[in-house]
Amino acid sequence: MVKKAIILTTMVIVLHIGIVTVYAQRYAGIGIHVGAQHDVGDITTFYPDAKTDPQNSILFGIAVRLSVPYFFIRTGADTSFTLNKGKVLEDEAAVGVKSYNVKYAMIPFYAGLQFPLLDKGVFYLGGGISYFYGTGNVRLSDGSSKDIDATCLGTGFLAGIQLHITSSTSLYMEWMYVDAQSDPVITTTGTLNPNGYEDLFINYGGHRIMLGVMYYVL
Amino acid sequence: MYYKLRKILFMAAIALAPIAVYASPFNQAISFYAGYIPSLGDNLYSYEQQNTFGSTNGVDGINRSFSGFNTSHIHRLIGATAGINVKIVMYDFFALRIGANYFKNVWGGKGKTVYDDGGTTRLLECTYRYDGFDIPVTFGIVIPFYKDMKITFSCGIAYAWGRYRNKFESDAPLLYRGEFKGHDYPLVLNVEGEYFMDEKVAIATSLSYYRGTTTVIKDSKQGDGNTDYAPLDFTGYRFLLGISYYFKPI
Repeated sequence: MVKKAIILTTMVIVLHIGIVTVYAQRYAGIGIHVGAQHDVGDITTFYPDAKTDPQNSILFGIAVRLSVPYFFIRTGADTSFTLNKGKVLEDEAAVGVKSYNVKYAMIPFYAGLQFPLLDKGVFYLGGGISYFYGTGNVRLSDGSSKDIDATCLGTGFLAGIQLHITSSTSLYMEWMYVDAQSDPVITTTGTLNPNGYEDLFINYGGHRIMLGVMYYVL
Repeated sequence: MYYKLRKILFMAAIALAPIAVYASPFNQAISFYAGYIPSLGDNLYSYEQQNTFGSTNGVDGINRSFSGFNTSHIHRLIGATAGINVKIVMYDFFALRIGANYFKNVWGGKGKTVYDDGGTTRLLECTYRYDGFDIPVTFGIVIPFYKDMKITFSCGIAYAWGRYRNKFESDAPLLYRGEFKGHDYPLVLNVEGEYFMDEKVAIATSLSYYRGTTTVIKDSKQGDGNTDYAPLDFTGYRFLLGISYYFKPI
């Protein structure tokens, strides 16, 4: 009985989506965007009392967006470029880090619900994951420099809004939050690590704001 | 604690007693949600992690690796949450939301690291768990778009109760267990979107931000020879999907 009800309900939903989809537009779009992230690498998650001059980066990326009336999928690729390196201003002897320059490539995959704003645009909210491949370097308190080579997977959410400017192009703005930390990949030289353990992880998490243009091919 | 919860739910039931008379400017909705919480419990700091294992920042700092030791990354917790929300929509543009949510860690919080035991490096097995419930009450503004959708932005506070448990085991031999239970009243911000499939039923999504931490709580786990201290952190984001039912057609 329950099984039958589930099958029937699923059929009704699929049929409903199918019927509405026939009349909908903007199924698949490709976009390019620029963005920014403040406090890249956030070293205070490694050493909470560290006083830092946070790293800032800009992002360039492409977005691929698939949508049906209620749901959307958003993927693509982003890469970061450093505006200014992060610096540890106090306690660097304890932290073991003088400065850091975190660069990364990110592949996001998010899905959720979208809400059309009359025929002017769309608001959307989704959850998902981001894959990071990070490079860059860390200058340690003993003056040596170590390269970053760390990957990780993070979870987060995406909130965005699109303004339709022609029948096939839209402006979009997105806010993405991701929580992502790599394995420990670098041995710091501070007083907190006298045994020489690999202890410094790379924090790719944080908030990102992106602004771009999307062209709908379908 | 459960008596308190029953009392709060009973008061909520009275507050939300059927007012959905057709002539009334009020409408009511009930929503069922499920979703996830990245970084449940934040960094899960406790005093013993700093004092014995040298981590000043909980699970973030306890991760280390060293040649000759088979370590595995201990991830921050990802929590799953499910709950119910009752919403009173007033004059189409204002909303009062009262909810009840349960949350629990479902991924992360388990692995192996190394620590310095008085000059000897030892392998340490770590386990973190976190669960609890909260009752958020928020008030805000609704933006309706014809009969198709509603976007609601609201803020308020929640009664949040949590339980954080950790376990650290090495061949020193050493076994530390900690359990911390407490409550707080975190700030809650919520944005919710509802897409109506008919005049009463909508699929919904919600993004909430909680901010609040308890005072430092004493370990209630006895018998392992140590007493630990930790705060419970409810700060973080929650992403939810669900379904809403309105008692009156919108």
